[in-house]
Amino acid sequence: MGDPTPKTKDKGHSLGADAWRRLKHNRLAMVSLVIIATVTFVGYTAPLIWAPHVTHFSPTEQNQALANRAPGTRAVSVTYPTYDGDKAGFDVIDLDRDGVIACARTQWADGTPGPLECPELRLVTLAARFYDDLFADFDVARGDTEPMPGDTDRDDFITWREFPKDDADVASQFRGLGLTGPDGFRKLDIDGDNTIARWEVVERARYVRYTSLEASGARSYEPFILNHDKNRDLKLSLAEFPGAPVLHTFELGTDNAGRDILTRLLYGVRLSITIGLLSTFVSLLIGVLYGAIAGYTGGRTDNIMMRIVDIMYGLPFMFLVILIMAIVQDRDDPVTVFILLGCVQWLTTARVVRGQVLSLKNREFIEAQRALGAGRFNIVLKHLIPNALGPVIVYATLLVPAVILEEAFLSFLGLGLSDSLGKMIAEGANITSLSAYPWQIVFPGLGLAVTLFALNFLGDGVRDAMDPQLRGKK
Amino acid sequence: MLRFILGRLFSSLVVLWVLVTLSFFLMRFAPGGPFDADKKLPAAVEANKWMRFSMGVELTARVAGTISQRATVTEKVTELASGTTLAVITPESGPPQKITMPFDGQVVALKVNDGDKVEAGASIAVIPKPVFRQYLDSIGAYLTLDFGVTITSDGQRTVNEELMRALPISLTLGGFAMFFALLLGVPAGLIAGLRHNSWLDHSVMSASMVGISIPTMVSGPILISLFALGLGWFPAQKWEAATADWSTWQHRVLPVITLGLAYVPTIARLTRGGMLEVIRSDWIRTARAKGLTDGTIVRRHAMKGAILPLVSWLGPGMASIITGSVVVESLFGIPGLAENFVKPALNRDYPMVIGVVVVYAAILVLLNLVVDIVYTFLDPRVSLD
Repeated sequence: MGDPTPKTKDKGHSLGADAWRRLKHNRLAMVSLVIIATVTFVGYTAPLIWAPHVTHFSPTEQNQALANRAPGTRAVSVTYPTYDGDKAGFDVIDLDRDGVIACARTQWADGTPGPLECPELRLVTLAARFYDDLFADFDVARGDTEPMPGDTDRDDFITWREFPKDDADVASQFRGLGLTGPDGFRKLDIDGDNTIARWEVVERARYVRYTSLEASGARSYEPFILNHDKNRDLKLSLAEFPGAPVLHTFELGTDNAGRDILTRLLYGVRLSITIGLLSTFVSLLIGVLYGAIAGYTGGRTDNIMMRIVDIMYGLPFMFLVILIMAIVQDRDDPVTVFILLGCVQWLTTARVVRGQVLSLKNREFIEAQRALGAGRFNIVLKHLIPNALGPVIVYATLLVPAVILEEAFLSFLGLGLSDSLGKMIAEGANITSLSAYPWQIVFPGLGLAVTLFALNFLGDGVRDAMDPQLRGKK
Repeated sequence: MLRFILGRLFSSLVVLWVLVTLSFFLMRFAPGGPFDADKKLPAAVEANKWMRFSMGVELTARVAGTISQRATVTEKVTELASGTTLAVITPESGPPQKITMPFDGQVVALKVNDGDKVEAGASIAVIPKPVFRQYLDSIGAYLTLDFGVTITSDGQRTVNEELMRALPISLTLGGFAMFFALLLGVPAGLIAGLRHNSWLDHSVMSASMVGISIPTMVSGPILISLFALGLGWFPAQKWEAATADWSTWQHRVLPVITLGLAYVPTIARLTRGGMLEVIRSDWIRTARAKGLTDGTIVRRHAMKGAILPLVSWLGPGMASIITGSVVVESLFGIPGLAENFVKPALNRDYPMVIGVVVVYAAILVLLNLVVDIVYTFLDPRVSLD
């Protein structure tokens, strides 16, 4: 009657493929998956692509002068500087207008070669300091006659009345450099509104702000000259001149140490995801082995092993973790953190796996293995654990956000990693920052919440996909 | 029942003992000590501290006499074997007395020099007690709930005084927060469960999904910005750590809400899950068949079963609310237990750490026990024995 040849349409598919098919129909879970993939990709390429080429700042580049700046502030990057070949920069440095920035090798008293001496570069570092201190030295709040210490007393604008005149007693060392007096004022007042704002100083100061000069303590011109002096005549000509440093934008502002929040955020997300995945892996490793051994051995061993788990459930584990983190020497080591967090999360996995193994171990396919003479470890590792993994995967996907949260919690208390989102949130979470520099907490908070959000939704979706009967119940 | 409670209390004591022992040795073997200040203390002053916090042993002269053969030691550096002679006291008459190291280790202070005349009973040296001896000496005191004096207060306050000040603050915070979370979460969960798959259900579930992803360290600052800095309903200034205030209700509202909100999603989901389970059961169908109204069914029959999963969560839930309060306390600068946990651990304030560990663990253990007992009253199918 029927067709004896099997229909090709009824191909069998594995449980995994089935779950994947169901997951693909869950739109929220798929959006979460895309978010997580993006965040992970962006995080992991941060040191390679984003920090050097996109944000141009390093997450550890501190600069007190740039602390607490609003999103959109521009500055020269010390770690990843770029130069634009702007000829105006050359004209600013070449004060004697001879077409070269000339240096000479000095000699020590005993005749050995000493440091490089570059009068023009010396003036440049002097000018950089002049621009750095301009607001501190000359900005006067409205109604005051003298500059007052402390930023709050200032109006953050310098008018011509406040600006140093080109006379000997105010700025003697800057005379004739075109920095002070009407000339200097006009150069600084880029938008021509007769007041100088901070951004104008930053824009102008880039012509004298060579990070390689500052990085070497402003006294050694060696790295700057040797990096650019191609024909080794100790003179930089216009052709050899690298150009003025490019100003880069702190897209999300800076924190209280002048670090770029966007770059820190990228590194923080990378760290969160790494810790989340590795901790979960550690906890699965312990939990699966423990549960499988307890379940397969059974009897008194099982009883004692599960009793231990019961007792450990009653321990306030996070407090032990806090205690251990407080006493370890190298607190800023991700390995310590993920192993520690993994070690306190395996209890539920052990229970789940044990239950699965108990229900599987007397099934026919295990009997068959035993009849074939397979060893216990062979049976546990090759047959029981792979078959018990379904519920474990569901649990693990929801464990990742939980671990990420715990890591943030540790860092928030000052016991974790300095790259962490929790640390950033802790730094921004005080009344002063909240009212004056809200971007310091908004962006890391958003980063953490979105990561957790996507992971939770994905975990939910995975659970529904793996166990369709549960759908809509929990 | 009684047997169960006694058994649980016994195993709780074992848990507490394991915890105390673990934290004791963790702290003692951690690098650095409580007296390692930036400024190095004179040996005699440090020796006094070691004695005051009963971490040292004092060697005294049994006879009056003259000191000779003083050992050359660098305090807290030279390792001496047990039995090494530290000094010899020669009295006017009678045999000389040797002062020797009672055990292997270092010397905190060797207070005499060759040629010094000492009275009988004078302190010659202070030696750190071996860690295990300290442990044996302390554990007896811990049994009588005496945790000693805190080191950071320089012996001014006992650990118990400090705990009695901070504990009520943390307990009020945790208790109110749990109350708030239940107040919001249980009705939401019940409604969602009763109106399964309606828009109410979907919005409760979506909201809880969003809520579960916003940790207190993010929601706290949001609430502060909105209600304290933005709308000005609550005073914000007093939330800086140095001047923190917990005495007025204005200062309590936001911390309680922040902590409570974090648990609303979990509570709502558990209640909803329980309700879904119950509403499909046979006895509810029977009640319907009897002709009871929906309201009566929910109030008299379904409610009790619906909150069962929630009740079994309350134990670990309280645990996590107490842990979670650490973040809220440091966010709002509340002078509760949290600041008495992290700081003492960093400062190696051994007695304080042990005290806080015991308090937290005891609270958790007791809550778990209470929850288990309450469970038997709610669910007649569960028997404790």
